[in-house]
Amino acid sequence: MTPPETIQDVRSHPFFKDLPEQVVEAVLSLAKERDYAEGAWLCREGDPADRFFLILSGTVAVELHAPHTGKRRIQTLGAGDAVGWSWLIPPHRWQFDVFTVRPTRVAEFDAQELRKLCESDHTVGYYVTKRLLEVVSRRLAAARIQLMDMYA
Amino acid sequence: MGEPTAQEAADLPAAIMPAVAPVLPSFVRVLRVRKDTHDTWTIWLERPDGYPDHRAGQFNMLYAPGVGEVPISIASSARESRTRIAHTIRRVGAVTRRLTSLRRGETIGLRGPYGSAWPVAESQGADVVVVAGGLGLAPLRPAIVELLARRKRYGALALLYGARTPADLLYTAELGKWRSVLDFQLLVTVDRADRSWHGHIGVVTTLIPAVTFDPQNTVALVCGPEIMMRFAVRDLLDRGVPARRIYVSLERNLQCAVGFCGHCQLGPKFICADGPVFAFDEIAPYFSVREL
Ligand SMILES: Cc1cc2nc3c(=O)[nH]c(=O)nc-3n(C[C@H](O)[C@H](O)[C@H](O)COP(=O)(O)OP(=O)(O)OC[C@H]3O[C@@H](n4cnc5c(N)ncnc54)[C@H](O)[C@@H]3O)c2cc1C
Repeated sequence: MTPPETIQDVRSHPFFKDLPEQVVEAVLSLAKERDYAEGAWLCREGDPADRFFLILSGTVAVELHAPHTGKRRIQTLGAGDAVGWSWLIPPHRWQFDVFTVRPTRVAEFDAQELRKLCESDHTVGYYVTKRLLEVVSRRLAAARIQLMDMYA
Repeated sequence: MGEPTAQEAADLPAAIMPAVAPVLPSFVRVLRVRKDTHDTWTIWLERPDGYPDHRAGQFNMLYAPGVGEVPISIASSARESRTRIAHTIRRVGAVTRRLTSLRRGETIGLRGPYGSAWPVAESQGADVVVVAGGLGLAPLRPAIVELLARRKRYGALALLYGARTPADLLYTAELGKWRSVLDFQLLVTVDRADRSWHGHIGVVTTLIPAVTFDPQNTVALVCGPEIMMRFAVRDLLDRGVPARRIYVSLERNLQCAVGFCGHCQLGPKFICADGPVFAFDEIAPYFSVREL
């Protein structure tokens, strides 16, 4: 059982902003709050995407590695951000490495349980998918601006 | 909707337009040169006789004899010194190449100050969010210096600064000092970095959700490449900052600086004579923002 103050922390995450109360309750019932030390991995490219994270505090870096250019840090995410959508979309494999660059507190969800909830209650499924789509859309827009090399 | 606050009721001006400066250049000595990044230098010039106190956001026309004359923003505040004026210059072509190769003691032509200014004094009582991209920090620097000098007169203060890589960041020593100023939200981000960088990575607009301010009672000062200003303005509008309280500086190419030649015309406005600082609602139709 997650202590009540923990739930409060997670409930105020922007991912839940303006969602219907019963959806928030259902999703929150699966949340586990967890602390990661600096340098811990949340996801590794190619591994099964078995979790979903909402960052409560701290910073994580998203990295991609290529054989010749090595690791490339693409982005950092912090409090208020969501990490990962691969858990929802087959084949459920991470597409990036994500690790903490500072001690980080997250709300963590078991992907299988969350998928099961979304499948069994399509109202929850709809809102979770819609919210994730907003996250994806914002990230895509940011990536496009970044591609323009706008400070050059 | 509740009653408007005092700040909302006091209409902010479309642009702050100080008195017009002379058209003939004075010749002034270079007092100091500092290399900031691989392509950008800050040079301090002696202040000419009779040069009026400039306002944050204004620019000078700098003339490299035999090469040409270009507009360059003033990177220092009149509060900082009565004897010298700083300019931060990126080497892009013939004139800026010459200006960034100057040595201490050499002489160049200067006329100014020209143009409209950031509404620094006019924003007292409001929250102020400064968004800078790349070299755009230079014309904002005097505004930041002035805001911090009178910190207590403002609500929340934030600087969001984005650059291409950590090596492209300007004024790093000063950023370090600003970081320790209480009650000043300073967020710096870069587009790319290796693992030695522990700060943010991502475009400067991704920082906007991370700062605390009251949108209705905020004045935003935005300067950077136009594409960056376009996205920053869009996000500030989305966050609820009124268009008339968002100021941008348009540093498009201009020539005469006094509204004669028409080179920098933007709709009915001349960037040199009416700008470079504009309230966004004034220039929105000519700025490439399609969705308002
Ligand atoms: C109000 C104002 C304030 C400015 N403040 C600064 C400043 O603080 N520091 C600074 O380094 N520069 C500033 N600029 C830009 C600066 O004036 C130009 O970089 C300069 O005129 C280029 O001259 P040049 O002979 O070196 O290069 P040019 O040979 O004229 O140009 C070289 C290249 O730079 C591009 N270019 C020229 N001017 C601009 C411009 N305004 N914007 C974008 N691209 C341009 C040209 O298209 C060309 O590709 C400012 C411009 C304005 C209008």
